[in-house]
Amino acid sequence: MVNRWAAPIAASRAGAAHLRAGRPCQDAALCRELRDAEGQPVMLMAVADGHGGRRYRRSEVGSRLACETALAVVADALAAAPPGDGEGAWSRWLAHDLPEAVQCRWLEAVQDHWQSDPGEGDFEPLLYGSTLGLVVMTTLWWGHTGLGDWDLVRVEADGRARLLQEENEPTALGEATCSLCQPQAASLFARRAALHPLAPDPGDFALVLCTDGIRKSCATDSDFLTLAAWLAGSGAEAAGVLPEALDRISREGSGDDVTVAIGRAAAPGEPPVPLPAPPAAAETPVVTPSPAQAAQASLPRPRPQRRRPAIGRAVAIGLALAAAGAGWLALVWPRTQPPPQVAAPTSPGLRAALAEVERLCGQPASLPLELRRRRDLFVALRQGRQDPARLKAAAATDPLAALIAADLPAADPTEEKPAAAKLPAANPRRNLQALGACPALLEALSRQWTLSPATTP
Amino acid sequence: MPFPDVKLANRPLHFLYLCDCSGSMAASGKMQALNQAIRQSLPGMAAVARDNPEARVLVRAVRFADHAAWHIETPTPVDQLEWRDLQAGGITAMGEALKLVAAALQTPPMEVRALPPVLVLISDGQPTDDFAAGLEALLRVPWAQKAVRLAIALGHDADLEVLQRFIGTEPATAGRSPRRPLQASNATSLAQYIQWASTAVVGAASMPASRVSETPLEPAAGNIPLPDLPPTVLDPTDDVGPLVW
Repeated sequence: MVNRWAAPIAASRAGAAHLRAGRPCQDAALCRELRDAEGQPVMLMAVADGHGGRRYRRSEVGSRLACETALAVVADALAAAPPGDGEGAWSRWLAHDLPEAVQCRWLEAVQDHWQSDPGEGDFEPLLYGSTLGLVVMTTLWWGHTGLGDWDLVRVEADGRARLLQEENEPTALGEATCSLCQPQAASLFARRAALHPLAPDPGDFALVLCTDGIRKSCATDSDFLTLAAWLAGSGAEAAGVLPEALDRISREGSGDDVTVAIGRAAAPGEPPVPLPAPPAAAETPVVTPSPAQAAQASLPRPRPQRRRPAIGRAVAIGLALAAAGAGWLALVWPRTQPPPQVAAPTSPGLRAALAEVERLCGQPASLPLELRRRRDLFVALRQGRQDPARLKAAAATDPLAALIAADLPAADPTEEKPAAAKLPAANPRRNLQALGACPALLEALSRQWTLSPATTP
Repeated sequence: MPFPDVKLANRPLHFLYLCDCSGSMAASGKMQALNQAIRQSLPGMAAVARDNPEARVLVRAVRFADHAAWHIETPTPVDQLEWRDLQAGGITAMGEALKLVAAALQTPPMEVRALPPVLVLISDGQPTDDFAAGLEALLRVPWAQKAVRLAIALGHDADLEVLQRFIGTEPATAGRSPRRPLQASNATSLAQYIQWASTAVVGAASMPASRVSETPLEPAAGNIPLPDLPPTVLDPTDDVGPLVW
């Protein structure tokens, strides 16, 4: 069985009008590679648009929980039955079973959030109102479902694009849309759900899933389809340009939050995506995100450029380290730690670090700023005021700090000049390459190290 | 790969005045006060439009007396608008005005990607034609259902019941009274209401913010929540200045 799907990518940006009003991004996106019960890869992408205004003042949480809930529901279903078990059953699942589970779990999740962080007044789901658009891509079929004003476009290899899905509810017009917070939400999924079997040779195509901010930024639907084709066709380059492009779309268009997720069935001109290595026996067949991963959901995620998908790399690293009798921590921190216990690649720290590398490399333009905000940490590490081991051990909760700690240059005993004037003496950052760090990230880290004095001036 | 050659555009926000130009508007300077209030509100409306570049505020106006007709037919960017004075004379074909607006809110010509429009009905009397038929025609149009509908009653002869039917019913919520027509009894309060509609309401309507679509339980949930009235006129029945009209 051949996996036709590349790892999906997504980006979510606060709209120009929201930034001006000091409001957070109320959109969320999430892309994941899962495994079904037989170990086959399944790609998932989800977008959600939290409603605006005082009535929905926690919708940025609601949209994030919508994506996470959808992921958990899909993961559970795939763990119970492989996608080949009757397409009719999976069609019904997309239209009925999944919606009920999503709505039920989302309501539980938002209620839990309210209880952990109660606000003024009484709890009501309306506070967390959000749409949800979801695409599931298996080796045998792909399908979509959800509710609300998201759009789905299919782009062929020659650039032809057509709108597959839009909201057509008679009551949804202007800014009004269907929402997970409505009592009848589960019943609204069916008209947005469909399953598409994959032909033996489906050809190259891409799926572009986006929140309404993108289409409403385009003067015509023709412009929207052209834009979707460009987003899909920019391929690996999209990893770098996506956030910038979304900012422009919002700034020159609707001003709304903008989110896009892109799935690709074999990139144009490339062979089918190779099937990632099967999971190790000890691994859970289906990956469920850790809270740290979930927190990354609304951040831009790149399409790996000739890199193994994150899970595939984790598996590969884990298998390699297991064979060598050491865990990933040993690979990354050989100088500062004794050989630690073998850590499975599913450890939360590793997953968080991998996700962080992907996130950072997916937005190279913002790398300098992100790292500059951690200047104090660079300096503290250089001056020995921070313990790198402690930061690395806490990778699950602060993966960026762990990556910075892992990149700490070895002390140069011959160093006499201020560190700021010299490049790091050693080359420990090559360790981060094992996690797939891109050149832009390595360069940005080097830049910060050169600006961080080893001694107090 | 360079950004594609696509046209990105802000979203149209249609603002429509429906102005009563019946003969009674000539009395006590009501027509003059209305012309002046609208003219004076334009700079403020233009400023709000500049502050919300994602919305393209386009103004139109309908006059109704013996018949309804467009006073400004072409949707005009607010910064290019020059208000020509309305003239009073005739009876009150309000229902016909609503039908005229209903036709304009059909898609097309209304853009699918438009922001919910703002409709402001200003009247000092009672409709002399089939108001119910006009309202029914208007509310059959989805954009009219989603519109922000405001009504300003000029003086004590205005038919508050028909104006209430135009804006619809919205129950009282925490800290807020039920929506009612605004009642202006002199030029000062009229100017304040017009100013509020053309600035605060336009600002609220300009902000892209999705909402839950209507449900049987929340019939008004799909519309834009109105901003607060100016502190000086918090209660629409609490007039400012002397009773003139």
